[in-house]
Amino acid sequence: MFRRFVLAFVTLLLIVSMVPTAYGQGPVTVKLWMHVHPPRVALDEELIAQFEAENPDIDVEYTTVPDQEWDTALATALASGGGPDLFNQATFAMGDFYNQGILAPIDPVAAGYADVQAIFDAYSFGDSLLAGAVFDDVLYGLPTELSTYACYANDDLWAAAGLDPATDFPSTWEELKDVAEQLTIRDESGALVQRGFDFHWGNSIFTLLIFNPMVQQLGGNMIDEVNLTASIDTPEVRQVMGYWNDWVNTWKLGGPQYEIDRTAFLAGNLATDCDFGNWGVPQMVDAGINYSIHPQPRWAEAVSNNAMATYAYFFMVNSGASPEVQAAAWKLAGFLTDHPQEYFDVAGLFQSKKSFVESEAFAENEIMPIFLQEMGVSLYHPRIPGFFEVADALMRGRDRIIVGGESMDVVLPELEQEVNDILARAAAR
Amino acid sequence: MQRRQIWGLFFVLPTVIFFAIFFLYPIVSGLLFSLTDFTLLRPPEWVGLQNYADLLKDRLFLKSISVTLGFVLGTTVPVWILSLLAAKVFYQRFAGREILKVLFFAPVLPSLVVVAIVWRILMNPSGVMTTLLRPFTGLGEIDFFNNPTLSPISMILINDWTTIPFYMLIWLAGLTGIPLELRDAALVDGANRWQSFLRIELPLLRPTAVFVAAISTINAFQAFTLQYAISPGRGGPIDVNTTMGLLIWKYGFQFYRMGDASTVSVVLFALILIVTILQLGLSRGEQYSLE
Repeated sequence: MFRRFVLAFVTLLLIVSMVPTAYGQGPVTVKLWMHVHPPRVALDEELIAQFEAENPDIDVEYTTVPDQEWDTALATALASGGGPDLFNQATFAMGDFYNQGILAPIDPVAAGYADVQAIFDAYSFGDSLLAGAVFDDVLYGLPTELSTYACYANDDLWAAAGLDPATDFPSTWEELKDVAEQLTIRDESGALVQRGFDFHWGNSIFTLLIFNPMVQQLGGNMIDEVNLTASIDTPEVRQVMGYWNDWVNTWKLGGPQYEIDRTAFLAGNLATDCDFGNWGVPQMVDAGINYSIHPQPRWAEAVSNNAMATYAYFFMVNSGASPEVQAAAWKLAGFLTDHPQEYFDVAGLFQSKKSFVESEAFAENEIMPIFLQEMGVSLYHPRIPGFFEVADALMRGRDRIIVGGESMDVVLPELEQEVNDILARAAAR
Repeated sequence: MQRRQIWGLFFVLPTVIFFAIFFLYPIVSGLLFSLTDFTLLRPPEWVGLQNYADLLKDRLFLKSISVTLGFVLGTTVPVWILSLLAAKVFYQRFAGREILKVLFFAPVLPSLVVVAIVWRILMNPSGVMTTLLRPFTGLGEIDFFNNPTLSPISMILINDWTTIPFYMLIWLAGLTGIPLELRDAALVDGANRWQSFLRIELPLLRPTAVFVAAISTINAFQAFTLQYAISPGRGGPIDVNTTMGLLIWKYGFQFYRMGDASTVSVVLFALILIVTILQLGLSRGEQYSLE
């Protein structure tokens, strides 16, 4: 009886001890979230199926989230303790994510590289373009899409004004004003029928994607992302703000009251637009616009050759995921970012992998070298906690001056204080 | 407990559960979140009443109160009066009344987002509205949405355009409920139409008035959609359209300040509660009944 009891006990012990072993050997599931970009989704699914076939120990749960719901859906999922293990995050809110300890440092070996340096070496302009996911000298992501803006000219509207973009496109902001005047058409009442050029006024993030780079060209910088301080009441900001203000109120060449520049350009009501990325090409084709692409203007007395801000999407791994899941997630990220040519051809998404940039196909591309050249000399927008709140405050300050007619002497010091307060509060959270 | 009471509870239970999950739980959660520092990205941390103290120094919040009160004023009193007037017009018999009534009611049917898009096109600086007003203004362009003075007025006008027909229908139902005999008796006694309206109809419309006032005020306090869909930069320019409803969204989902967003929503809830209680209190007094 005793022997039977011992035998049964040992058998039970064996079975119980085998359960976690068997469980531990089961496939690891990686929850991957991407925003909806229809041309990319089919390619994602195809590559994920290939990855799962090559890695039977890893299951991938692929979820797409509409772009406009992304921030809310991701934040609420993370708040509830769930959310994705691997996600495709834009650089805008990345400062908040880093500040809240959500991001896991990259695991280079799991991602298929010898070490972190090998990742930087694998990308053209690796130091400047991967900087979007570097915090305190640690890399936290692999880029899925790198972007900056260049200028698109509607060649037909330019020709109608007797101008040729190939020879007449302005290289400075000062020249742009003169060219824009030649391209502007007004009706008998003085109302603008066609704008020569206009800025993007409708969304606050453009204060950091366009306005601040213009300040940086002059040697200033509104936001110090390392020390989290603002320098807004400066001669450089005054010069750029003065230019934007004159654009609206003195030269009357455009302004926030008009149709958003991108929409107007695609409708043929704007001759030049400087905030489309390379992803704008299919939209030009659909709209039937005969276009050419040109580098951004700089100031005549610019001290920095930067164009508009670089921004990007990066694969990032949730620091709350288990080490096995994190490793599997980086492996998947490494695999998916190893197909830059396919993502560019199918979805128009640019990754500056040397294997792609140094290929014949890239060299033959008519527009990408311009974008890559601009990216190479540009800087990322500030990746700060409270990014959207700072942008909102900057837009409010801009509008107080340009729309409300308040003096820069009053607004800029107040704005600087307000942004400093926002940065201090966001950093303390 | 009697068998009958148990069955009663059983039948009420689904509603109670639904209310508890979808109303009570969010309200209590919101109240609790307002006492925390909650970034959405990390679990909330208890801070007591700090968020409420901070709000008193928050310029954006203080401005949102004045913006909201302005919007409430512009979308309640004029709406009550104009919708009642419209109801009085449609209460009369005239040729084509039913067709006109349907046309008048049409703005209520599309969603507010669609209304916003249509009006954004119509009120383009050199759009249809500018053209219609040109004989009076002489202006080639009118900046309806980016002018800090015109913009809130434009929001109010668009809102009133879409809500007046709805409240007109409520008033019309109230007017229809008043027996003709009472008006006839007043006329026989020498009352003119104005006196009949003032002394007979208006007192008997008190329950309708209370309903219209309460619902329109609550809706106005919760204003969000138009400001979100039309105003430049969502709430601009210079935050002249940042209502408390919009500020809650900004704080919670744009700035990752869910604790502050919850605090604003609690304050908004309290404001609506106070105003509604005041309205109900003022509506008491001499009651008129048809019985």
